[in-house]
Amino acid sequence: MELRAYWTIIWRRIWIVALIVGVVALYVGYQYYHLRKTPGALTAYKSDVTIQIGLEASPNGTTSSYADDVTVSEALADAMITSPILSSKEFDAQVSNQIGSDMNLIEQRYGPHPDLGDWQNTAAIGGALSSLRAHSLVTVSATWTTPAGAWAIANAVGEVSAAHICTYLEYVVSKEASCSSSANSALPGVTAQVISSATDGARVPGTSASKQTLLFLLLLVALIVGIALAFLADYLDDRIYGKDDALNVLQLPVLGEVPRPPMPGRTRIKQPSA
Amino acid sequence: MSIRSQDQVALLTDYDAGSTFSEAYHTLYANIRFSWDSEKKKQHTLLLSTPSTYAGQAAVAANVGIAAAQSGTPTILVDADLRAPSLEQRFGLGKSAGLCDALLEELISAQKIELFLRKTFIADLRMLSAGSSPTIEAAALLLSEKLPEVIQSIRHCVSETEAGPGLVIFNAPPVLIGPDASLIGALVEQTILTIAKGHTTRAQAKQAQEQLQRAHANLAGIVMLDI
Repeated sequence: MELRAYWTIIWRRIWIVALIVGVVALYVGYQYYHLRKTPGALTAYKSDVTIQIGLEASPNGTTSSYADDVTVSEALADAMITSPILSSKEFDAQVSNQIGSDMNLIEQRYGPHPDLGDWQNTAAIGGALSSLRAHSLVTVSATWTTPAGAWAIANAVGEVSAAHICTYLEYVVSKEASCSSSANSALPGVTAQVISSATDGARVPGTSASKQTLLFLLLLVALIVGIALAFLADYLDDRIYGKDDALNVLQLPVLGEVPRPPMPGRTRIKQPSA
Repeated sequence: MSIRSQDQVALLTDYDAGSTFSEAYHTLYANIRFSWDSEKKKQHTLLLSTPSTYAGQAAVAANVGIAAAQSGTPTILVDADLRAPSLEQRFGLGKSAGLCDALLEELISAQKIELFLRKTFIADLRMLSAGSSPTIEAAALLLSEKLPEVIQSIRHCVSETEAGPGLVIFNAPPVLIGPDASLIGALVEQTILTIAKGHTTRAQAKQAQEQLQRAHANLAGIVMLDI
């Protein structure tokens, strides 16, 4: 069958295609509207902070080799990213409190009343954090709905880690290790130092960015299904729609083709052929 | 019987001679004309029918008749649709004796047919209406042995009155609703099936063709409507 014949079939049943694509387009439009309205669904902002994890200087003259320090530091960094510290309720509550304390700093950077998103939601903070390790360096990324919020969280993570990392990682070194005072302990404590402060929130694809592609794919599938149904409907329709149809069925010559009579006053004049 | 407003005005004379609609009928008539053997016969008989009921069918027969008459061919239009006659109304003629009366005559001749023929507002086009009392029961008259005589008399009517070749066009009811079209088709020189786009089904067209072939009608071709 020629392409022209295919097009004739589609055009004859264009209402089927239009109906299916229209219904799906309404659904896609509704979903896309919700995605656009949901903060961070399509676009998010990421801020990174890099922390070095290590051991304090040996107390009471305890000696340790450089190799031992490196090994322990790497083990601590590994524990930081593999254990659920970043998503723990305590850590995230400390981050949230730290953001409250840093509000002046944030306002200096992003102006008065910066849009920080839902920064008091500790669960959301925990879900926004991810981490990577290179030797004893841990890079924590905060992906948030606003650039100010992403920076504020990353900055707070750096500060909380520097101040309280010992609380979370002391179990790695020894149960006897103390965070409060190294003088009372025979073993050195765990420390964290911010190597690279929080970066400005960089724009990244949101959590539902892939859903946008899926919605467009759905629209394409609707078009294909609509066309397929148009062909099915035409296959099931037994009516004769053209000269070729009639010729195939009856094998008789077509002596004439008469158009539908025009309405009175709307007579079409035949255009002379060039 | 009421006729839809658009069909009522669908006579060729209601449209501009240069319109696509008008040109289509003149082309159709020309194609019918090409298949005549005017050397051998002075008259040509033609049946126009459709596989299933279609509102514009009578208009097709009327318009072919008008196209023939306008081209100078003396034409007799016979409304053989005794079940639902409509040609009289289309040409603005009142009820009068016609085909079913002719079939009831004991002796039929060209002279008697001549009495039933009525002039239309188009020169060279006369009409034999369905008759004074066309009904479904009257359609059974077509089964009588009179039908060949009546058709022969109509044919003589053209040859006796006209010097040149003439045309007799029969408008028959749909092929699939009764034997009427098949009976007439068996007695005329050419039968043409009209196929309405988006209305006639393949099955109907095929059944109508088989029905006409069983009656040994000479199916000359098809006309596509509402293209």
